[in-house]
Amino acid sequence: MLLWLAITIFTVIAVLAVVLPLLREGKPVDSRENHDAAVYRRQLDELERDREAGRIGPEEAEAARAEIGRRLIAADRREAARVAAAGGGFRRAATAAVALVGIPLIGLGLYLAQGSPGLPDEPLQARLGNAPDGKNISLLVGQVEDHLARNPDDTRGWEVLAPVYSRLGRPGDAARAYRNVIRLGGSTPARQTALGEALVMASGGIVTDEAREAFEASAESGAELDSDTAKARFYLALAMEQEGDSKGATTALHALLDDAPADAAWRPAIEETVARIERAEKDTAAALFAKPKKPALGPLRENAPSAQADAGPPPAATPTRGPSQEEMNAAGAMAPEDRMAMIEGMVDNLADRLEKKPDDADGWLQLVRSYAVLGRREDAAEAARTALASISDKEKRREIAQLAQDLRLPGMEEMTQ
Amino acid sequence: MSWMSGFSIAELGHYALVLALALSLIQSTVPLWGASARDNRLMRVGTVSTLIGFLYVTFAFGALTVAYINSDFSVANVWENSHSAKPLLFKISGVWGNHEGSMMLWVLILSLFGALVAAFGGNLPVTLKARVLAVQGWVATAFLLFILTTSNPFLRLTPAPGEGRDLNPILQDVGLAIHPPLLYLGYVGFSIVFSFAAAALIEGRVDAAWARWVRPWTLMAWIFLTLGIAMGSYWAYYELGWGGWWFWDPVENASFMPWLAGTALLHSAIVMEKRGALKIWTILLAILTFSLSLLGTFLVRSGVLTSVHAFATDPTRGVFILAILVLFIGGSLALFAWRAPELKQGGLFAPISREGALLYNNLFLVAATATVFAGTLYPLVLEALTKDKISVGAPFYNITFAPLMVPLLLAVPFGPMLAWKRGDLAAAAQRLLFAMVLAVVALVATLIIEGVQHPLAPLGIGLGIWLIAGAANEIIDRSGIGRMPLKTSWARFTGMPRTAFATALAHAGLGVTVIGIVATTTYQTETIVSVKPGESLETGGYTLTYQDSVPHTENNYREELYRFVVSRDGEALLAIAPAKRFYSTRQMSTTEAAIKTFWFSQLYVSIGDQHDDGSLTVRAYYKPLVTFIWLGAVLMAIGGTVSLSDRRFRIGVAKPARAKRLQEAKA
Repeated sequence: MLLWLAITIFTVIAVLAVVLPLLREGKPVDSRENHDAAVYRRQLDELERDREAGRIGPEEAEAARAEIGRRLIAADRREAARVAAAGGGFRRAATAAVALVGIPLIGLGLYLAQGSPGLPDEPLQARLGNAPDGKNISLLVGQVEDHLARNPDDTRGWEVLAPVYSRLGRPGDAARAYRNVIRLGGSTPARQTALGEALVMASGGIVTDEAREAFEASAESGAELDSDTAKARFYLALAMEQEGDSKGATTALHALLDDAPADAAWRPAIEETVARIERAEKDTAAALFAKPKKPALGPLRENAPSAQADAGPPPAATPTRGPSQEEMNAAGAMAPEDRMAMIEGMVDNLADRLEKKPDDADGWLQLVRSYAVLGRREDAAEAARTALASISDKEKRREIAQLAQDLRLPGMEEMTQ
Repeated sequence: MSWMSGFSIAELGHYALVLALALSLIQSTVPLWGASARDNRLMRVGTVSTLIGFLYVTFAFGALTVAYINSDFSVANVWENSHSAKPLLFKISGVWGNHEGSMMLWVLILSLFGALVAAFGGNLPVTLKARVLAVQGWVATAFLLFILTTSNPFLRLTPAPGEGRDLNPILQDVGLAIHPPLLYLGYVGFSIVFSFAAAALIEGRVDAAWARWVRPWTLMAWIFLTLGIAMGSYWAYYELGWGGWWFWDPVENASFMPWLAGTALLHSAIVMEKRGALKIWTILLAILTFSLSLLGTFLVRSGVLTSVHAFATDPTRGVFILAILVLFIGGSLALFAWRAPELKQGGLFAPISREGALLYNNLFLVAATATVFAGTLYPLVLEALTKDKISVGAPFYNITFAPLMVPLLLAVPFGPMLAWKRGDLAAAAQRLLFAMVLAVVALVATLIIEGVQHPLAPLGIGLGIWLIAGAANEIIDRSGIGRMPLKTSWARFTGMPRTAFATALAHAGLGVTVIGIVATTTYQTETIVSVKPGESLETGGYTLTYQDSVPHTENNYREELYRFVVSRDGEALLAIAPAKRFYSTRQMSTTEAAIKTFWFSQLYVSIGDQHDDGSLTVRAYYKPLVTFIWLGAVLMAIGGTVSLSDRRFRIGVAKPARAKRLQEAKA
């Protein structure tokens, strides 16, 4: 309500800015010629001073005086009484009418086309809610870090800090923290799974050997099947898929489903993944080069995290890559911002990896697509350019160029090779 | 407070921006109609709508700033370019550290200048003022449309992401907080000069009075641009870690071209104001200066360049700005072609005269602008035509730009010494004897101290001294110090118009900059070595001993500090710690050079790679008189400010009291 009240007040002020000056006559128009004459008189004074100071010769001063004098006379002559043209009433009425109709029309029309009047501000403070006395979360993180630097054996501190690192998109730090937790507080399935997940995030979605060890520790702990051990088994299945063992992956996932209670919240996510792997299995090649159904080209809003899942990339980029976006979503019913941070972290890590090992065409394809989906179009274009420069396989280069063209990346529209 | 639920300052800011567009449409039409019908009320609509429009743009800019300060990541632009861990200053500077925000700053400054004319243009003829505001309204309309259609900073995200994506760490610096606003105040400030030129052409009246009205605006824009360029140069110098202070980077050139043209304009406007000559030329320069500003905006904002500065790329934006460019440059030049022939020529002058000297200045400055223009655009055109990517750098400018500067700089001290209309070169030279002697002494001294390794350098130093001494010479000569009794010369000194001091300061500043450039370029020492803890290196007579490296953690970055002890002649002077920083959110690292100033010279130490065996690559420079480069620019800006404060430029003020005092002193 308040927003609309403010919008109304702003609009009224804008209209009044046009209408009020039309109502009052104000002081009469001073003629242009009076101004001119004042300037020329001043020029004459200055000329006199210049002549006294020797900055202009006497003859030249005389000539200049004549020049200025002529202009002065001309200005005086032009000083004819010029009054406003007739028809002032019409002009005022027309201007006022345009302002009365046009300003609200343009204002609301353009604003409603792009604005989101229903959305309140969401300052970080308000969203964090419980941040004490106005300190922001990073400051708090800093304090905990300081504390841990002095008391590196405080299990509780590391335990608090680890998930916060994950949420802040610092998976490497998160993994370090979880390792400390395990070292100091002992291994539990939940801790091992969390460590594994952080390592996966840190390596751009790849289930590394280290991560696999953590997941195995969790899955084989003998604990009852709960969301933590299930997640570990899920990632282990993904690891198999990444190594090209799609069969093994689906078998493992089916086994997981068999063990899972019928009402487990994470069942549908796993079923979806099984279906996806089986689909991908059938047509790996097609899936590899599939174009995104809906390249994220629209205005920024479409790239909002909520839209990520809908406008997501094609299912399963390559079988040897990290988990697809669906899996990432499935990986835990995460809050959208966590998901965002996680995806961001993965993509950035992939980029780092490619920087070190640039001759990886499939990696580049995935990176370009991921950037496009995230709306980082410049980065996508840059990645495509780097890829074209660093990949030796001609066929793969063509694919990358094609992808860049399809996504209409800036500066890449006319790529042919 | 439930009645406040759903309120959003960001949304209200968005609406204010849209209203600013609506008002700028009024501003660009109604006063024009009012001026042609000589309808006072319609013209006043222009004044009021300009002022209220400025308030709305300011509100919108403020709303965006609030979103940055609060880390409101529901605003997409804030999410993309900010981070809650950033210090407050960089949250604020982050507002204009990205494409959308910098365009907001652009429009804010554009409407600020419009509002200044609306508020303080009471001394202008009403029809001229109305037309100036209208033209300014056109520019504002174009750029507001650009923002709202292609670069809207107020688009929202729902749900809001948890953390922002940070700002490029290279841009996270105090330099960025100050440099773009100054630069924009400069080159967007020239918009008002452009508006004055277009308004005068529409009005069909261009005369000495016009030149006088435009002068303060030109000066204001020029001062800010001078400071902005100097600031940007210093920022690149200490932040990029390369030790260079000017790279002939297209983005630097984009601000340098309007500066060169603006400097030419400043000088030709003097001729127009004093003698009514060079009218057409001055108007053309006014148009060209702002056109170059627009070109700069296009180069930087369209992403046609790829350099450290170019952090915006999107073809739709490029095309939009190109359209604005074509519309305004083409439109104003067409208006110029149509109206210019009707303008009457002003006062006559001999080639050797003050007017002639100023024209000489203009020819060289415009030729210099042209070389920079060619050097900046040629690679782009070539790339567009042949897809070859070349870069034009210092070698090109050394053989084109530098030779143009030498005859210009040699002539600078003569200008103020020549009389109007017909001057006497020999007499001027005689009066400059003092400066010439000093310049030669400086030249010989440099030769003796530094030797003949760099034969051009002593000439450069001599040239700088010539400029400084020439400026001083002018003041001494005019006040009669040494020739007249002290009392008389004091009266003459205090009676001199402020513009005389302004000229001297600006010209001396130029000399200071020249000395800084020449000394740094030719006499700097550079040492690149690999050292282990305990080892030393030497540069410019200073010994640097590498001690150790210590880690340090800040809110949003970690850094490794490499500690060195600086000593000279075996005596330890101080400790320095160049660093490498790692920004975790962007996974980027930067190099922080350590810079120590000794008088006007600097020691500059920057860290390269650290090797497995514990050794460290260090680049150390000793840069003699390097600070002169920027101090000179500051001096030029001070000169501009002194000139701006000259009350004679406030039209309508009674005969200057100082002139009266001068006459009394004589009597």
